[in-house]
Amino acid sequence: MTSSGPRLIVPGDPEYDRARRVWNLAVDRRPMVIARCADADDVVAALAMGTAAGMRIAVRGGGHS
Amino acid sequence: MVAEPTPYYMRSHLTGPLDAGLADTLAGHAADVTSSLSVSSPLSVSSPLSVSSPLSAVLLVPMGGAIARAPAGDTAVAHRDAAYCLEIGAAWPSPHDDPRPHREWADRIWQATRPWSVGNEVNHQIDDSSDGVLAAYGPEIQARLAEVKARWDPRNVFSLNLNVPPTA
Repeated sequence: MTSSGPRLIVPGDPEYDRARRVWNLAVDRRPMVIARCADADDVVAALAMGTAAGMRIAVRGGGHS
Repeated sequence: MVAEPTPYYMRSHLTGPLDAGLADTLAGHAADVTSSLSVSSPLSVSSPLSVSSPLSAVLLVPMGGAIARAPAGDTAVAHRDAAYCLEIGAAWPSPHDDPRPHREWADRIWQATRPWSVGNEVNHQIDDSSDGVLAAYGPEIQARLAEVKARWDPRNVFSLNLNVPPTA
């Protein structure tokens, strides 16, 4: 366990607009939080946080689909 | 479609073998491409069938091969006997453009080519209603996926997708 947890990107973060962009520029979604996960522990932490907060969760992979 | 990111809207049918009727239908909808090649001028739609943007494309992607060799029901992929994937890709230059004429162009071709459809390709499925999901997978695959879902995601945490809800 070396991970310090997922990097959380929220509106106002300088990386927010880049992080929320996907391949299809017709998609313009503004998630409450983007969790950038580096390993399985990060994914577990992000899902635990999101479900505890009652958030709706979507997986963002390469951003093509 | 082009290599640079653009806004786009994709629909598709899986089809049987290409025939003259499908070819004629597609040729009619691809008309007038050359009259609208300049993206800086207003794109004219001179007939209800003509393409709305020079970035749009219709692809006939051959299926078969290894896809068809895998036994039906062995995987979550349905419609393995399709001959082609007819991809109708509307793309337009800027996210600030009105997407409606382009989406409507794709929808018109999709509707006009429905008689040749043998199924929907799951990654291009627009209709995310339960009927649409069922059309993409078929009842047997859908039922197996629902069992897998019940085992691994019984609370349907991953629901923002072409969703297969878990079996109760």
